[in-house]
Amino acid sequence: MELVVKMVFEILSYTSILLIVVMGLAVVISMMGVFNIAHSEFVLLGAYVVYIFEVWSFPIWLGILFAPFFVGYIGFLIEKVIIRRLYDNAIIGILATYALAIVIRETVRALLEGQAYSVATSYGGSFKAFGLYFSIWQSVIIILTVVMIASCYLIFTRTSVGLKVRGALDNPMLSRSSGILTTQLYSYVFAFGSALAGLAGALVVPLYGISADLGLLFLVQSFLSVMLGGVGGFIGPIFGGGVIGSSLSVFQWVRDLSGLDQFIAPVFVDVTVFAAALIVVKYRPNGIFSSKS
Amino acid sequence: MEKEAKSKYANSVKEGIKGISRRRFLCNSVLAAAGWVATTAGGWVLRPEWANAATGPIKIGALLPISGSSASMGIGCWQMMQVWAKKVNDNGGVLGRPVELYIEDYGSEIPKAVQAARRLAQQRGVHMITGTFWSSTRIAVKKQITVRDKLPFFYPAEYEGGECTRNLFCTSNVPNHVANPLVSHLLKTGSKRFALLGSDYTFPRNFNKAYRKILEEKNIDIVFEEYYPMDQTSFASLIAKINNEKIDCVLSNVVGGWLSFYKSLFESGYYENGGRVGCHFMDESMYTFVPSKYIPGLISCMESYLHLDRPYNKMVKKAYYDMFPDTKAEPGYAPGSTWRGLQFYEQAIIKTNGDLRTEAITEALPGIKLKDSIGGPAEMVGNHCKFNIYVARNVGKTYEILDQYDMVDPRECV
Amino acid sequence: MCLKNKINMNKIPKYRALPVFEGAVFALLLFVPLIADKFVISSLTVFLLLSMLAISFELCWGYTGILTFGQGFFFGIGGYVVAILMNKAQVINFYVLSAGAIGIGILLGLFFGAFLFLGKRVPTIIFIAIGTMTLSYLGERFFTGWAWVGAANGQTLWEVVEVFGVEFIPGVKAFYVVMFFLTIIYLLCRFVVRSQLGLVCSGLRQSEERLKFLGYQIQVPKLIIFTFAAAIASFAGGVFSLHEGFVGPTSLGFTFSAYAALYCLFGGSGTLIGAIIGTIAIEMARLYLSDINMIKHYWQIVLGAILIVVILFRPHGIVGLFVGTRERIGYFGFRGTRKLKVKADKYV
Repeated sequence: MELVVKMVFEILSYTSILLIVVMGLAVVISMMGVFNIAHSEFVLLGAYVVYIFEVWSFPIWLGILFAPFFVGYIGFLIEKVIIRRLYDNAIIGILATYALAIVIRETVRALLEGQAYSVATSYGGSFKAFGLYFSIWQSVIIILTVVMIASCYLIFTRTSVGLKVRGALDNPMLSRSSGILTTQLYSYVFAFGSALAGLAGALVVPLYGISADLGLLFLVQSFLSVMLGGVGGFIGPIFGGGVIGSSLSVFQWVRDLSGLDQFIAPVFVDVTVFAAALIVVKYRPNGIFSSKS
Repeated sequence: MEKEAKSKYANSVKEGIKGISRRRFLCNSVLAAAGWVATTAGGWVLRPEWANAATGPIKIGALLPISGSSASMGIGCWQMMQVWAKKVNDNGGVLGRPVELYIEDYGSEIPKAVQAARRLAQQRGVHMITGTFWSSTRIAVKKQITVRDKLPFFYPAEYEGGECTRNLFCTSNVPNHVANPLVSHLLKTGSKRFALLGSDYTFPRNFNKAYRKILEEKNIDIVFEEYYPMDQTSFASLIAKINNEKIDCVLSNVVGGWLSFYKSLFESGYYENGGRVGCHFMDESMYTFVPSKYIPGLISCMESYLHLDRPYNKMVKKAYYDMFPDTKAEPGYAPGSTWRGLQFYEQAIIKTNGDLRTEAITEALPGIKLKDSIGGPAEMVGNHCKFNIYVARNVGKTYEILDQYDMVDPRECV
Repeated sequence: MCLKNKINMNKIPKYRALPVFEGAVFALLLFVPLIADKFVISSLTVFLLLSMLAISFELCWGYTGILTFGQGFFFGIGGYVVAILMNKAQVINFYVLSAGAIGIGILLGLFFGAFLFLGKRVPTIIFIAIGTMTLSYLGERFFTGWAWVGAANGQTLWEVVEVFGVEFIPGVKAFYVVMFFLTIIYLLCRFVVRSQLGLVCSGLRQSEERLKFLGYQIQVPKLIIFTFAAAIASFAGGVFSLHEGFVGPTSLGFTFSAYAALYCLFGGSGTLIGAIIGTIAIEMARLYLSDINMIKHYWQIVLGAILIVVILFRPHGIVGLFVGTRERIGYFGFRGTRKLKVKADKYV
């Protein structure tokens, strides 16, 4: 029984981070059709902000608070300079954002002088509940993710900004003729997506430490989640992220506990999950929950 | 003498580095301050001021990752080489010939490493190459260096053993060095239920194989053995298993995701329940990656430690920090091993009376004894080294030495 | 595309720039070894092998509109097959080794291509892109964990292979051997893209919908080109591992695939010579940028920035600077291209 509790906790924790990253990516892909490969590098930027706060002896929680705003702003600038040229051409978009990802990653690597560091180690530690130890920080992440998803949902469905976004998602032409400034909206949406990624990075850095390759941990997972879940809606990416995140965790546990670990190496976990995801996407090209047919 | 030498270095630096206007490029400043000269053909050369000696300099090539994901290890080794070169040149060189260092950074990318090795041999004309860390990089470049360019290749990193390639010399530890000391100590001090863990590649597997052999000889049961991919980030199920199976000693060779692993292990209450971890390659230079508080009482086993109380170690450490007072790269085991390799090379040249040809050096190396080196005396047996092995425990800011084994034989390539 | 680059009727060039360009590049490559040192020659040989990889990408993307990030996978697989044949089966006959590499390329190209392209629904470009990207990524992870092929350590290729009576070790002779292979592959590809199949592919690149309405089974030519490109990439990968003496999981990874795309974009997508030029340009930049003292540690950032600028502002790449759009689109058919040119003028 306690094993199940631990397992569920772990799945929630891992999936939460993935969800925050995926939401940011999904909103950019759905609205602007840009497959932003540099999105996972915004995660790295968020992590870097927290690292810098620690190096300069500022409070870490302040860094975590500041990271999404800072990364969001960077995203805003990047949108104005680079991304807006990519709207009519998704393919060039992929290649340009790939080059952008290289620039961001190598810049951070140069700033870190090629090193990896553990960050915010004071945020470690565990608490005891029901006779089991749970990591404090991972619990915080789970709670924050639920709050984030709820707020995004509320913004999306209950505010006028959310209405404009939904309108532009559904029918850009019509929204423009209705007076919505889509170009301005796109900037803010891209900034919002980047901010989400930055937040994910800031939250995850006490767990993984910072190194220039941090973003790469999320790249394929986030893209597959978006493709699996479908673009254009709210449920889609959450579903996709949830499936990919939990499959990866569950598979790992199944492997460890069922005694199959002798036959299946851990590396096969991802291979299987991703191959399965690809097969599903092949037969449901717009993802499972898509508002676009 | 020191000040003169330094100003002479500074002059050559001024000549060589025209056009660098931005001193805030840290690495360049460090290089310049240490006397490295940028050659017009690319790369960096450390030339002593008396480079016009009649028989020409001894050129040593450094094949190290100064940028990229392995940069943290590369920078320490490269700085150590400079300290060594300066010491040798200040004392008149080797048999009267100055030592010249050439650096090629392969940015932690394997294809670039092959190209960089080629460059050192063909364009720079070095007499010997030292460097690389990951076994995959060593394997990628060894044919290029030892067969195609026919140069001696000193490999400074500890690794899984089994490298018997001609002209390739390994100056750090292999499983046969550390397995017995480490496991014996753990058994002696009460561990009973073992789990062998590692990242999924040859290095961890070979070390664990050596540990298993010793445990089985003593009829100790190994509860389980597991390997994880290098980019594994979540070890929760593994740690749950460790706690459920009441493991009291984890022999860990986890490299990929180690921060996440050790942190989660610590947070799961493993140490409170009396558990211990043995990981042979942890030393003080790893505290930046895995903070000490997550690995209380970790037992490690290496040929040298940063704070080892020996005159030779202290001398080298002082010279290192004198030359690089602000460096973040500590002179850990790999820089120490690089130094050891350079010592062996110097002795080999003396033994061949100045004959730098690879065949001569390779013939001369086996059997050479170093009266003193980092961690203690050393002897080249075949193409591996005999040296002291220490068992140490992590106690907060340093590693406390618990046991010492003298001149352990690697028994490789016999 | 034609709207943007309307060709002024008075300005149609009297000669065709593209063949001149091609000739110049090949001539230059033939003469370089006579003046360069051994290191440059060895490096250039590697660049030529990478150009083959770029050509394989170009065939897919520039000519057929398949955005594949999987060419690196086939490149690495070719290398692994050669290493396995040499190390486990003691094969050192070059013809057998290359047949093995090409064979695996065709086999896996067909297999993955069938999965990606065939089926009831036409796959989107994005699906192909992400699908092939995942292929490279998974390939690398899978090979990293597979002990039989050396896992993360990869394999060293110790034996020296003889090709056309010449020992295949880095140097002038190996350079000319690779040059020979490159020329053959280049001519072969040129033949294919100028053929009727090439015409169909060109149509695919322009507008799949239209071609569908014309009654074509559009997935079939795509599959054929994809398999052909995979075979080229595998062959290049096999020769690459012989030259470098090494193959490892990074050889199959996403990095090689992405660089194949970048080479072509930089050189000019839509032409085969663009692939070669782009590869040599970027690789030379990588080699020499990392020497410039000011940017020694930042050359990757500089390279990335240059690529972004090129992608955004000069999508037709280097070749686009010299060769007009009409030529880049290409001429088709075997007989008298002059006849076609006259016909085309009326409609342009």
